[in-house]
Amino acid sequence: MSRRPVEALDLPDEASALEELHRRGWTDGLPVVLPTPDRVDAMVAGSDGLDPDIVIGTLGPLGGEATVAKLAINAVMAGCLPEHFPVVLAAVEAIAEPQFNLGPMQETTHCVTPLIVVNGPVRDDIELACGIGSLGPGHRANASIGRALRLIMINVGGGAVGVGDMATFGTPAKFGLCIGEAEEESPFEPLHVARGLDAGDSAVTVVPVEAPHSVVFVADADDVAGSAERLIAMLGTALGNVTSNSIYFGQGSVALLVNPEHAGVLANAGYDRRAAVAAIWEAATQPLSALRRFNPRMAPTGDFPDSMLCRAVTSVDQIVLAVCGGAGFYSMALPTWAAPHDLCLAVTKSIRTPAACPI
Amino acid sequence: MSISVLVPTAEPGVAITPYANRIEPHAFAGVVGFAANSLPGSSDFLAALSSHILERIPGASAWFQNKGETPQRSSDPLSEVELALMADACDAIVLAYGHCGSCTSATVRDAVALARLGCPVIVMVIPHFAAEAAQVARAVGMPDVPLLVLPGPMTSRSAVERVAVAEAVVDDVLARLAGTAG
Repeated sequence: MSRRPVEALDLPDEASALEELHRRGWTDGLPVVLPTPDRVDAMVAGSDGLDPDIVIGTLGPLGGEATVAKLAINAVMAGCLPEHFPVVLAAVEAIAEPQFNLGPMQETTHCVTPLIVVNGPVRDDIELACGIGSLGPGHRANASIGRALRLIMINVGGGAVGVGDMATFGTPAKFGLCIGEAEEESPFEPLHVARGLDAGDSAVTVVPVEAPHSVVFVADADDVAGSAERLIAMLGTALGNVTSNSIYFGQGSVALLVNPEHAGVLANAGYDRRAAVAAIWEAATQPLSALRRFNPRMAPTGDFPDSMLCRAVTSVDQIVLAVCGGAGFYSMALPTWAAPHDLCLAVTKSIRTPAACPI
Repeated sequence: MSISVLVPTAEPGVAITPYANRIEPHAFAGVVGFAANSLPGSSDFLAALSSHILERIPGASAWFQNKGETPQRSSDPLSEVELALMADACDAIVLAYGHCGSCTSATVRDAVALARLGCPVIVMVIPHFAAEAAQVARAVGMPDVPLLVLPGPMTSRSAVERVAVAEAVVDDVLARLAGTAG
């Protein structure tokens, strides 16, 4: 365990301990696994030898120091197994990067929250769901890892509701959003490879986004090219809808979770990942007249023509596309908060798994 | 049987810097900056406040800045260049207003950055974001930076109502500049 003193509470029994954790605001409102010293030691061991006093990052808005020990305590509370812990550590590394902009992202009244996309062999090792219903209930690794990141944001980052998390409504997505990319079902190169890592690496890509919005689309097998064009238009329209922040600000990363059938529609028409994302980026627009009509106090000011196109994101690289989910007509669009300039960007980090460690 | 559970929370890594304003309004003959953060009505509110303050501090003059005409910049911290210009131009700065989660954070951070450049500051926030402002001030190491909690939301008020609020809070502003507020 940590060489730094880690404060402990001694309580009469498990029921009173759980109530005390709730009372102090250290949970997400659901029961947690009690972080006893033995359980936390076992979680730290899952980090494959990291010193518990190592500071993985500083988490805003509070600026709390995210030591391995503190992260392990929260991972235990979330229900993680020790083999989940390397994924949690990588996700924390990602959100601690300045370009992710965690502090203001937690503080905003918008409902932005981290989406964790996992790639590589670790998905199989920990049985992380990539397919049917993988953002919903029933998948232990997905649920626990996503929840751990939220508890860490609350307890280490200071994101308690009403103090550090000022979201007007919050969102159920804040309980946790973690999904694996269905690399084996995808016609595209894996997301982490597109972002510069090797195919054999395990990695997380963390994207600050809204809860997923469904995009319904039925392809026409007799019109391959037309189907792809219409799907691209649908996905772009979902990202650039006039009710979300993205079209007004154009900043930050957004995500698309495209089901394997929809990905196949794009691939069959000749699109690779890069070309598909570029085409979606072209489609994720609104004329300035629409912004002026619906939300004039949010629309860009200046002597611009009504026909000027406003973009949901200013560059292609701000769209993170992952192929995942089960069969059906639905993909998911996740616009973002997008307020600060050149921030709230997706971050990819390698996962340091036991098998990946040479020592 | 008793059970021991480990505490999941962490403390900020930034050390605390003490802070206090000590401006004597009657003896003050400098420039008071009024820094709006681009939220609707913030520049009008500060303009109204400035006229009341100049009445109370005859030797002072006013300096104005707005981050932007639309709220797009309200969540962006001021750049180092902007901060240096402001600190150079002003002998005290009033910033307004913390009215959403991210803009409250940015405005408090701007204020602390200006204070670290030696410029006396006050930050105004609406009640809904006062607790957040206090946490941000602690997080960046200056929990004593003066916060003035405005009486309710401002962006939904009319121009006339904002002027009335400015008149209502001018004594509180002067007290925080003098360091005499409770």
